[in-house]
Amino acid sequence: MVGRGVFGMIELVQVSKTFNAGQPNEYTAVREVSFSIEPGRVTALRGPSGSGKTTLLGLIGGLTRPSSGRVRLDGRDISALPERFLTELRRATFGFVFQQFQLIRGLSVLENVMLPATPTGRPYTEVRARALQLLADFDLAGRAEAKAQWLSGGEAQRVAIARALINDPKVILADEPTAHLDSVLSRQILAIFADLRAQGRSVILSSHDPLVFEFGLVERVVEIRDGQVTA
Amino acid sequence: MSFLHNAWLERQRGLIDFSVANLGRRRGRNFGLFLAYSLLVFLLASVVLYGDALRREARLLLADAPELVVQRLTAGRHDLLPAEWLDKVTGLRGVRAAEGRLWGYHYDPAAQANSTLLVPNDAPPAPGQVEIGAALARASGLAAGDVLSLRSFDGKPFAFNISRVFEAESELVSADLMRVSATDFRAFFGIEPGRYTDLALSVSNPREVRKVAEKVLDRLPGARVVAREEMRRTYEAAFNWRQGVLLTFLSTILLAFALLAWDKASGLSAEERREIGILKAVGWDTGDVLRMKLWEGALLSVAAFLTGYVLAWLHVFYADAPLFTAVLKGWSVLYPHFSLSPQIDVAQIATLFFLTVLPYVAATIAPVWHAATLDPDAVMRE
Repeated sequence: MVGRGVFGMIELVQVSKTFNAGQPNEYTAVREVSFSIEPGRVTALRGPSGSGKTTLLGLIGGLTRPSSGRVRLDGRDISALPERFLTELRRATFGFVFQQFQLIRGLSVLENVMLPATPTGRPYTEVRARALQLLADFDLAGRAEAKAQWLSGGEAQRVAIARALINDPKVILADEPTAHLDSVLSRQILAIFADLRAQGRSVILSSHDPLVFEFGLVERVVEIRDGQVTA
Repeated sequence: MSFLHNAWLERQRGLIDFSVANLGRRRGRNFGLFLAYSLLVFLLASVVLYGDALRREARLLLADAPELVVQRLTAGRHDLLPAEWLDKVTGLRGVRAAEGRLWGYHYDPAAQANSTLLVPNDAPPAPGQVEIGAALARASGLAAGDVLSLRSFDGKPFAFNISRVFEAESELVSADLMRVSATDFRAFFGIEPGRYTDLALSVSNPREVRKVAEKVLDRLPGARVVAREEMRRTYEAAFNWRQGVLLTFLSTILLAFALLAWDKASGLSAEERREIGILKAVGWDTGDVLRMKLWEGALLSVAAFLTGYVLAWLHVFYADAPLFTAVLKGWSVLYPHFSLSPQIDVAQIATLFFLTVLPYVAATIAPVWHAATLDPDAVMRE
């Protein structure tokens, strides 16, 4: 699966992110944040709602560019990469698990899981086999043909994780992964993250759910408040 | 190289799979669009196919026509001309050959159709015999060996033995033509010997047609000279005008469709924007999203185009275009029934394709491009 070692070192240097710059509704979500995340570990961004955790995850994963500052992956500045290269990097390196699951309604579970592999040009049969394997790993083998909107919260979250893993990324980014789940399902999901960690992947998650921190999975906590790192 | 090639193919396959799944997800909307689109292509293609087919028939008709036709006018009306006229033009400089022609129309009340009786100058049938066009034979249920009985000019029955059924490249010709001998023609219509319907002149040098026509008029002051080129232009003008009338009418439908397509294709719902955001967030770049939407638009519009075009083709060449016949044929409704010869014109298909498919695909792409260039992190901030 994923090779262990130093791949996936992430550094943020004086990163700020301002939305709607120059508009009356200008809003700075992240202010001059600097920290680094070591590969192969589980790191949590902890802070109250609106503290800038989600924006930071987006900046780390190359979903958005910083207004100022640098984001580096294994020493390489990714914040200035042209869209195509940034997308390729994102596709190969990061797997995203969104807070609202963000599955596409009307498509089957299998189709949703295979989506991130479409632009890679990998053979269909290979991608399909991998998707089915991931679904089996997450106890969803029988749900492959089910439409995304038919799933329960726990199933949707596991499908979202399977989708994040289809391109075999080194880093998993999960935004409030337990926000919509009860305690039992939350523990199941955290156990899956523990497995991913055991496979040598980095897991970076944002959360303010005490259960996440009590689970014993998180190795490092970055405290965020008002867009700044406090600890 | 081969890996790259395969990767490209696999990628297109993935995009097509997703496009098909996408079309299926919004079945009602896309099916409505498909129907409206097919109807538009059907109407447009029907008019174009019909007009072109009629023009083609006219061209075939005129291909064998003489360069110049000399008619006699009496009080402004076409009249039979005396045989001396033939002698007067035969020796004219520039005239390669001249011949007197005998032809006329006959209305058959039983069949409720006009037919053309003609005396061929080459190998006319023997007296008492007639050769009829294949389409006419089909329509009237006649075959070689049958007897064809018509009423002559004085109301008496006139029987012909059908000696042959002939094929012609244009059904317009074979649908109404009967070839008879000069003797029978004169007896049937009551035309005395030494009179012709008109004269056909062939001209040695095509560039001298106008000059020869002037010479003919000098010699025959009561004549009217019609050049083949003029006949061609008249046909063209008549068909173009009729096609123009229909296209004007269709333009309102075209406009209505354009509005519908623009509305359906260009308006991205919040759901679609969200999905584009998801695709970008999971690793699709702007180009991938555009390609997928391009496939989606192309699949829908090409399917609708093919459906509409094939239906139009069947409508024009097999159902005889019931929607347009009255306007486009235009001439006498007494004209015998005929079918247009089926044909396929690649340039014409290409023109229709570009007129209907490209604008739709463009209308689809513009708003998607806008949505696809946005940062994908909007998905995370929902």
